[in-house]
Amino acid sequence: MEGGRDAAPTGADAVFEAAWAGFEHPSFEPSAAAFSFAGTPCRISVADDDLARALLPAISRRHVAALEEHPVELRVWSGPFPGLRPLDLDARTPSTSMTRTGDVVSVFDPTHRNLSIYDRRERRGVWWTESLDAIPSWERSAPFRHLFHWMLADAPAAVLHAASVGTDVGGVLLVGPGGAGKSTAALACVDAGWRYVADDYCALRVDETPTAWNLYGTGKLTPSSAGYLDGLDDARIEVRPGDDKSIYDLGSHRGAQVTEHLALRAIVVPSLSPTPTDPIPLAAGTAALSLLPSTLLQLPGARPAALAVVTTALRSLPVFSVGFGPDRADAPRQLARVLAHAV
Amino acid sequence: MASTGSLSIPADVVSETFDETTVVINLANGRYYSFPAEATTVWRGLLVGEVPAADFTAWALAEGLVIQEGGSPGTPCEPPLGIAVFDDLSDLMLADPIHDVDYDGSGWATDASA
Repeated sequence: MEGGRDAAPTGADAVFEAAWAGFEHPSFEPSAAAFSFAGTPCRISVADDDLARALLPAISRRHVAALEEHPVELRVWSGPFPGLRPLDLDARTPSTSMTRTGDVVSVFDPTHRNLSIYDRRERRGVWWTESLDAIPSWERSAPFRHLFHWMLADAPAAVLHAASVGTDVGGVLLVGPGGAGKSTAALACVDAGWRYVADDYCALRVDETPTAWNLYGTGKLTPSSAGYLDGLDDARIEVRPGDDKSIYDLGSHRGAQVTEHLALRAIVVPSLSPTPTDPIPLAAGTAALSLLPSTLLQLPGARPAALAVVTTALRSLPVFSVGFGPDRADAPRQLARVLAHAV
Repeated sequence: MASTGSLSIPADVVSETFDETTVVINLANGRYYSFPAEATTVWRGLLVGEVPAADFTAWALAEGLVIQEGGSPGTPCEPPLGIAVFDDLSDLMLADPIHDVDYDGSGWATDASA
């Protein structure tokens, strides 16, 4: 297809308009669907079915039948984008670049040839990729993270690199670096019948009480982690060559347990250890070290809002460290003890 | 040692204090820090224009947590006052870094060399 315009757009506003207009190419057969993310209504229009099949399964649990007025509008398309200047910059900027001016904020990934760009005043955004094949597996399992981060800042909410599960008592937020046991613990809790909000990324709101909100029903898991749930292998929706993780549709496999939101009772800093260790109260500053840097560094562009949301949660919730042993049943047992301590 | 007015905290450096512990994050390079009580006191003083001790100032300059008008970045040295330094996310930044890029002030990454 031809791009949205022939002349090179200059400046963030012009690039946004080019990206927005590029969706209107006559070769596209777009479809639109309504969603709600952390209480924010959102209409997502996708240029073709292949792109929809690649990106929308991950957010299918957040589909709603009808939208309130004035939803956030997102457009998603792929194809050549003549004149998109960051494409010229690969040699000198071989890294993800983020720009912002006025109301427009963007992140461009030259490696995977995709652009997230959002106009905060107009509450509309575009996710563009040069080709369907260039979409990395993590984007398929957790798409539109930057756009969600920017559009939810008004809620106010922050998109976190954190897991969240819970019971009727309430939820826990599991924070820490990759490999700390967040996904493993979350899946073990699902296996034990707990409610599931996230195993990797969720939204956090702090209206009256800190609340974790589901964004994605998919997880990107190693086969060993996926083995925690009987039958999850049947919910595997993609394996990419050379990738040690596959994408699983937890929403379809355990849809009844995928919960839109959980009122949080505690923050947990997990670790994997040879034997399980009892929950130990931690200072908020310790949890902050596990949560603030990764949140602020991964998702730029709305950092003041994210900082305020996360800081409020850290100051209002008890924090515990928990060591999960090798038995997968340890995690729900230990986290039930955290909830008993916290409530 | 710098005078009171010559030290400032870059926009890329953010901090939050929880009880007596302050978490300081340098968004420019992904390094972050845990300041215990005494270092928190010094940092709070710095925020309101007080002059830190020379060893703290030298270290903070070297880490890019403060900048000195007309001064040099400083020489790397051991962190003072029991400050813990974390660079595990710096590796992440190197693998998949995000930089604010605005070469010409238009708000877009236009190529100045083109």
